[in-house]
Amino acid sequence: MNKTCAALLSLFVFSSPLASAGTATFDPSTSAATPTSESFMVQATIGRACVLSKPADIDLGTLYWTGTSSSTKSTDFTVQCNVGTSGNPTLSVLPSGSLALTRTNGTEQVTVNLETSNLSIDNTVSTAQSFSISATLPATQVTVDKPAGTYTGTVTVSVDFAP
Amino acid sequence: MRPWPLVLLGLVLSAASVAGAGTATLDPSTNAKTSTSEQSEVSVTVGRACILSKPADILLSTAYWTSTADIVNTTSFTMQCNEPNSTGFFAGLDLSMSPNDTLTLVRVGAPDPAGDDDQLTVNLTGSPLNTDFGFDFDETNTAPQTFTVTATLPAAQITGNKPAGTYQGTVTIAIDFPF
Repeated sequence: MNKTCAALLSLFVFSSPLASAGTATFDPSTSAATPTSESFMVQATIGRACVLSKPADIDLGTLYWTGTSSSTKSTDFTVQCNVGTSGNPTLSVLPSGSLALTRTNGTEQVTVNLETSNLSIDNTVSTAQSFSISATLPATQVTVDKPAGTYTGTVTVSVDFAP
Repeated sequence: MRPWPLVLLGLVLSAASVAGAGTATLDPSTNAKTSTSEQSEVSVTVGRACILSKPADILLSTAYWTSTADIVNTTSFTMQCNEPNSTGFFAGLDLSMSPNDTLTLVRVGAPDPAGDDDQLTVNLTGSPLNTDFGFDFDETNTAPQTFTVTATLPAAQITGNKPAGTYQGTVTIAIDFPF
């Protein structure tokens, strides 16, 4: 083996570990060094996320069983979501239709009628969207057998994401 | 190779800040969607209220100064209330009559001020009465409760110097709410 062959062999032996581990190789078949590259992907997922504001409490005021007027009050809240094509959020209010208010330190109840605005979330906008809940206590609910006092109940507004 | 981990770290931090700021988030570490809810309270205050019926007028029959019999008649009324708030201090309703013992009747058409001869004194009594004051109203009963007022014109009031005619006076029944 002459000196030239010995030198080429030593270079090959030395560069082989680099060729298997790295991205820049020395091609022994052409005896020419060629540029090379590898690519990999960076991925991030932005999910649908929403911020739900807390609706203010509704105080229907004071009613008397001798009165004939109903009481109606409403509260507003907002939902703000980023746009997206999957995982659409849905908005719900519970209970729906009616809500029983129970007397503090008692068991007597009056029933309030609940109405909501359209609860559909527009998935094409990212601005805050407003919704409302209205509560009505009919005068007929306040009868003589309802002791004086404060009657309360809870309404829950939820944002859920479709699977 | 250094810039990529920094970019990835930046994405993670950015996603984490979004997750922490909202109430409904997509968790970037698990790709799990979570739901959220908010609650609001609906309240109403039911106040104390009562219905007091109007007592019928008491018409005492015609009296004669020659008679020795007292003249008595009654009227009644009802009151209906819802129960008071059971929490906190509460003082009962005050159902009272004014005047509560004697009533002066004045002859219709008498000069003003009327003289003694143009006046009669009627005795008034209510029933049932509270031992302390006024009518005895049951605070826990939401049914209409009936009360009676009795007017008595003593025969001694009808003397020969009383002009013939109609004598009138007014009794007032009132409810007072302590608070």
